[in-house]
Amino acid sequence: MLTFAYPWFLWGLLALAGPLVLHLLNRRRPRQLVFPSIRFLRRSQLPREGRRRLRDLLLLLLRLLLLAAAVLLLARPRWQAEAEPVPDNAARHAVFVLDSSASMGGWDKLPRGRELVAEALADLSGWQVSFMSYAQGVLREDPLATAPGAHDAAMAAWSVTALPGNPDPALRRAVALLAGASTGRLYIVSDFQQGDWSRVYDLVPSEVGLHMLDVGRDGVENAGVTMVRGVELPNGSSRFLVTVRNFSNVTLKRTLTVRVGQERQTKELDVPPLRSQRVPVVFSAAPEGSQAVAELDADGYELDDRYLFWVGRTPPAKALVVLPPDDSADSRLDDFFVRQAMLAEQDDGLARFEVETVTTDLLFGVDFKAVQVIFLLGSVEMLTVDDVDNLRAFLERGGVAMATPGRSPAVAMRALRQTSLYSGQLQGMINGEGLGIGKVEPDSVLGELFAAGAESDLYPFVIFRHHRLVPDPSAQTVISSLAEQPLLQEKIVGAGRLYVFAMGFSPSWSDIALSNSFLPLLRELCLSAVPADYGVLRLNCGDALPQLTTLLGEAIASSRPIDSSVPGLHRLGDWPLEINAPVRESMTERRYAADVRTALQRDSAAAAGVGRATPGSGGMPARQPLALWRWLAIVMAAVMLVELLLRTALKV
Amino acid sequence: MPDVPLSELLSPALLSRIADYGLLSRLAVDGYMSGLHRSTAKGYGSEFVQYRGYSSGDDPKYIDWKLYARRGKLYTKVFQEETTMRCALLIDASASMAYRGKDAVCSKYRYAAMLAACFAYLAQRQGDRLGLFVYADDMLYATARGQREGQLRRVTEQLSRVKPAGVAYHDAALVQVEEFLGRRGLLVWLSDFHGADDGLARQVRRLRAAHRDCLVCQVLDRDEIDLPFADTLRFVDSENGDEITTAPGEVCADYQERMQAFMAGIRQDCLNNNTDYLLTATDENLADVLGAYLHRREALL
Repeated sequence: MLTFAYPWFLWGLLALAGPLVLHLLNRRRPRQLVFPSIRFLRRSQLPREGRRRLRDLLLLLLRLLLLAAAVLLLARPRWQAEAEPVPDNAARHAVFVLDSSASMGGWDKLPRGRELVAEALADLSGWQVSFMSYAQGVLREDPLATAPGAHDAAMAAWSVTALPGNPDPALRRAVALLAGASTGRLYIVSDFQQGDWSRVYDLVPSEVGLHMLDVGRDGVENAGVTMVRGVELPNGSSRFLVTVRNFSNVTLKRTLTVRVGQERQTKELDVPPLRSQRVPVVFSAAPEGSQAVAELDADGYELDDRYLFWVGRTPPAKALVVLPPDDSADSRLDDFFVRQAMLAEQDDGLARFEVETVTTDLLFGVDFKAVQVIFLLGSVEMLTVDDVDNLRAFLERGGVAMATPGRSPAVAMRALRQTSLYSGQLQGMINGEGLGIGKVEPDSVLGELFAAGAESDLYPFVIFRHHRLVPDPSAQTVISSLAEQPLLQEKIVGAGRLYVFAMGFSPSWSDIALSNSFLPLLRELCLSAVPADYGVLRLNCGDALPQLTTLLGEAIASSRPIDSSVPGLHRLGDWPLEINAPVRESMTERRYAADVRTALQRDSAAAAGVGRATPGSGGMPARQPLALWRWLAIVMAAVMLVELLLRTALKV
Repeated sequence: MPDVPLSELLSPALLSRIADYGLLSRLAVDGYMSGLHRSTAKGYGSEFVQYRGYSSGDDPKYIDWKLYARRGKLYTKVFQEETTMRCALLIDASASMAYRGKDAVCSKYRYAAMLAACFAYLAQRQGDRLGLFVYADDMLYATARGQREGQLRRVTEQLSRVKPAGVAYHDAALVQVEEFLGRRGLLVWLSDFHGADDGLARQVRRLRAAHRDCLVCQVLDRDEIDLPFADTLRFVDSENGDEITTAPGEVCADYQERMQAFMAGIRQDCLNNNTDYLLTATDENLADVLGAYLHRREALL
C-alpha cells in the first residue's frame, strides 16, 4: 500500500493542469510574426501536424512526469506491504489516548473529541478497546474491553484538567498495552498543541496503526494573564504590575479587571499580537494578606483569563550571623552592627531580612537551605569540614556569604584554600594614620552604588588597621585602600558569591560600621541572594510543592492539604503560595497531526530490519515501509535527461 | 538585449575602428571651402592638373619658370582645388525597419542609425556639410540648408527620436535630398529597399547623371535572408498588414531564392550605375562591416 508522510503536498498535483492548459491553448493556431515583407513568401501546404503534435505530446508528457515526480518527492511516499490477513480469533487491540491537558478546555475540543472517538469506534467492531487519558502523566487507564457500556463510561469520565500535557508516559503505556496484539491500533485524540507535542519522538512501532484524531482549531484568539507582581509603595499604597499576553496573531481588545478585597479597577487593553503588555494598577489601601484576582473578559479558553495572587507582606529573607564560640567583644560588636544594618526598615522596596545568630559549634544543626545570607564574622577558622562543605553547597545554590578576619586569619584562609573556595591570603597587618578607602571598582557589584562623582560618604571614614590581603587571581577586588591594598574581594562560586573582607566591622578596625554607607554596602552585597520577587511561591498547576524548612531543618507544612492541580491561593507556613494555570497551555500554536505521526514513527522503520520481527511486538511480523523518495529522485533525473536530449534532438 | 542609447553610438571603441579612413568622395564635388575632396573647380590645391598660358592677373608664383626657359613662353600650373562637400544621410524609418530577429543585436532601423552616425562623424571630422533625412511615408526629419554648428549632435539626437512606422516612399524622399545636395555631393542611403527594387535603378541613374556620388547601404535582418523558422507561422507584413500562414520549412528554399534575386537586383542596379553597394545584416559586427567598406572604398579612390 502506498502511503505518504506529507500527503497534503499531493495537492501540488493540481499544478499539472497548468502545462496541460498551456499546451491546449498554444496549439490552437499558429504563432503570429510581424515580418518586414512577405512578398517573397508563398503559401505552402501546411504540414500535417501529426509529427509535431507527437513531439509536443512527448515533451509535454515528460514535463508532466517531471512535475508529478517533484510533487510526489515532496510528499515522501512509502510503500507499506499489505498486512497479512488477520484470522478471526486473532487479538485485535485498539487503545485511545485521550488528551486531558488544560488546553483541551477551550473551543469545544472535548465534545469534538468525543464525536471523533465515536466515529472511530464504529470501525472497531469486535476489537478489544482501551481508553487512557493523560495530562502530565496517565490519569486514567481502562482495561481492554469490548462492551460498549465501558466505552460510554470512559467517554463520560474523560474530562479536562488544569494541568499541562505530556503525552510521553501515556504513549509508552499504550504501546505496551498493544504489545500482545496481533493487530494493534493506537488512536491519539488531542489538539496537538505545540507545547505538549514538541518533544515526542519514536515512541510507536511502525507495525502499530497510528491514527491521529485532531480536535484542535487553527487561528483561534486567546489572551491570558500570565503574571502579577506587587510592590508596596512608601505612601502605603500598593502597585501591581499585571502582565497580559496575547497568544494569537491578531491584536485583541480585552477588559482587565483587578479586584483586591472590596476594591476593583478596570482597564481596557489593546494587546498586540504575540506580545505581552504590562498594565500597572495602584490600590491606595490594599489590605494585608488578602486574596486578589486579575481577570480578563472570557474568551474561548477561560482557564488563563483569571490569575490569583496574594496581597501583602512577604516573609523576610534570612541572614545568619556565625560567630566564633568564644564570644569576644569584637565579635559581639560585629554582630551588633550587622544586625542593625540588616534589620533596618527600608522604604525603598528592598527585601526585608530576619537575622539569626549562631556560634560555629552549633552550626551543625542549621539548615542552610533556609538561609539566603551568611555572615562569617571572624569565624571561618572555626568551621568544620562539614560546615565548609555545606557552605560550598549554599554558595553554589545562589547564596551570599561574607567573611571577616578572626583571630587566626591564616588558618581561615588555608581552610578556604584547601576546599578551593578562595585562594587569597591574609598576611600581617597594616596600621597607621591616613588609611582609607581609595577606590571602588566601577565594574563590581558596588560600582553603581558608589559610582564616581555620586554623593557618598563611603570614602571619608577612617581605617585604623587592616590585614594585607593577597588577592585571589580568580576573584574580583571590589574595594581598595588609598595605598591600593585590596580591602574586599568577591569570588563567584556556582550561582552564589563569597565576599572576603580584609578587616572586621567593629570600630577597632575602622569607622565603616558607624558611617551611613554601611547599610547600603551590606544590602547591596546581599541582593544577588534575594531575588526581586522573593517571598512568594508562584507555581503552575501540576508543579510539585516546594520543600520549605525552618532554620533548624524542620519542614514547613500547610495547615490544610494543598491541591496543586487546580488554581488557588494557599499558605505554606508564612509563605504565600499562588497556583495558576500553566502558561504553556495557553499557546495557540499547534503541530500538524501528520508531523506528529511522522515523528512518532520516524526512526522505528530505520531501526528495525525489513521482514524481521520487532522485539516486544508480540510476534507481529514487522512490515517496514519502504521509502520511495530515492527511486523518485532517480526517475526525476532520468526524465530530465531524456527531456534535454529530446529537446536537443528536435531543436525545440 | 537592451538597446544602447544613440548618444553612445559614436563610442571610442567603434570610432577607433574607422578613424583611419576618410570618407572621401570618389567623385569631384563642388565646394566653396578648401577641403579634402577633389573639385571640378581648377584652382590652387595640391594636385597638379595641367598648364595653361599665363594671362595677366595670374599669381606669378604659379608660373613654371623651367618651362619658360625651354619654351620661351609663360605658363602657369593649374591644380585641382580641394573643397568640402555636402553629405546627405537618407534613412528609411518605415515599419519594416523596426524588425529585430532572434539573433540580431538590434532592430534594422537602429543598425542603420548606427551606421549613419558613423558616416556623420566621418563627414563632420572632414568639415563636410552634413544633412540628415529620415523618411517613411513622409519625410519625418530633414536638415535645413545651411551649415550649422553642432550638426553631429543634432543628427544623433534625431536618430534617437525616430520610431519606425508606416510605409516607405523612397522616390519622394529622394527628391528632397537632391535639393540639399545641390549640384554635386554624396548621398548615403540606408534602407532595406523593400518596395524600391523597381525604381532604384532609375533613381541611382538620375543621381549619377547629376554627378552625385551615392552609397546604397542595404540593411537586412538575418531572418529575412535565411527564413530560419521551424514552426508554421502566421506572417504579417509590417507595412501593409497582409497576412500569410505558411510553413517556413516548406517554402524556405523558394523564399531564399527570391530574396537572393532581390538583393542581387539591387546590387546589379548599383554596379550598373557605378554606385557603391553595401549589404549588411544586423547580426554582423558594425565596426567590421564599416571598417571593411571604408578600407575598400579608400583603396578604390
